[in-house]
Amino acid sequence: MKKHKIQLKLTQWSKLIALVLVFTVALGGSSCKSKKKIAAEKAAIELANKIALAKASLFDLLRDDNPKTYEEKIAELKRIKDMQLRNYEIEQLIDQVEPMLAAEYQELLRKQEAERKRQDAELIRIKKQAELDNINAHFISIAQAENDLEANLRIQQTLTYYASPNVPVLLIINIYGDSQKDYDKPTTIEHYLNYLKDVKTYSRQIESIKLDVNHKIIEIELIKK
Amino acid sequence: MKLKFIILTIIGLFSLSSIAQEEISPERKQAIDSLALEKVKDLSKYISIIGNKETSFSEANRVIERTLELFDDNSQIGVSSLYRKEVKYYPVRKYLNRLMALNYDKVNIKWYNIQYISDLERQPDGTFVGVITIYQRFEGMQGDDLKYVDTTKKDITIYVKRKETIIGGRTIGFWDVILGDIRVAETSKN
Repeated sequence: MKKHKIQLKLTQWSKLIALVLVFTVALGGSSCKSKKKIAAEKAAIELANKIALAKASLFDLLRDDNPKTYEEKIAELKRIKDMQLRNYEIEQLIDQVEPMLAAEYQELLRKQEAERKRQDAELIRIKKQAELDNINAHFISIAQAENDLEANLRIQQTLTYYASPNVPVLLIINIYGDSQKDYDKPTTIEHYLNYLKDVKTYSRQIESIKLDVNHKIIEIELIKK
Repeated sequence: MKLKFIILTIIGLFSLSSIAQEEISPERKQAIDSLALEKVKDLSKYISIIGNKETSFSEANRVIERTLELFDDNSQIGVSSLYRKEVKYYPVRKYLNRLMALNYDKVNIKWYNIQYISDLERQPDGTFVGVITIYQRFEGMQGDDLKYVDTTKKDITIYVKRKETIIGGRTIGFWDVILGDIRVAETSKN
């Protein structure tokens, strides 16, 4: 009888334990399911945020007054594309941004080319100005020579820059109308250099020069300052 | 043939007249005036160089040649002296050669007050003619002694002609300033 009672108690305990286990398992399963849901919701929120930020960035990129450089814009677009958001609106915006940046790139190239040409032209101008300054310096040095010997030496040095002593020198006295020029009687470079030696003054500037293939001057046009 | 010649002559006269009557703006005229004045200033420097005893013979001769280019072939230059009443006139080359050979140890010649007394006026043939007056101070020294000094007022007749030449295949129109006679207007001690 006592043995039967003990057996009955054990059965009851087993049922209780089994019930507790079932309850525990049931409770545990419910909690796991809830975490996944939260994680999914969190991921959805993050995605929505990413999409919202990407859209904002793309709208920013479409703005005409966007202060970013072309390189920064390209990096920004790449960053958004790399996120692979698979959103229709995002893709639509990317489709608008890409041709806009392509056009900006072409404009950038055009500006770079224009700047390169401007720099080349400036270099040529500086080089030409240096050349003209050098030619003018010869005239000034002859006019300012201390004596005939020094002046004659400078004349001989200066003449080496000219194709011949008979190179014409055109002296503009006035420019009128549609860039028409009045000249003094044309002279030769040899006579003009000697003239500078005699009058001891030079107050002109170079209006134009013509050079031959050997880079020697074959014609020079001077105008009063 | 004779008729053709007459027609061509008439056409030639008309075209010459049209060139002569080409309107010159005041700005262009001013540039021409300045050019002529500059030539006289150049002449003053040439005369000073030629007269200067420190100028070498070859340099003086070179400058004489350049000076001659300024003048009309028949121009004459007047020479006066405090010691005689009459003014002697010499062809330019002769005047310059005499100037170079003056019998002083040192010669100083300075021109000043160079200005128009008769503005350049256009003549019917298109040539501008005017007169520029200058004052010349001449000092001749023997050793340290000032042997002779005078101041002469001189009038220089100026001719300015429009000419053309071809340079580098293109026609260049230029104003040729030609100096005429230099006449002595007055001579004084100072």
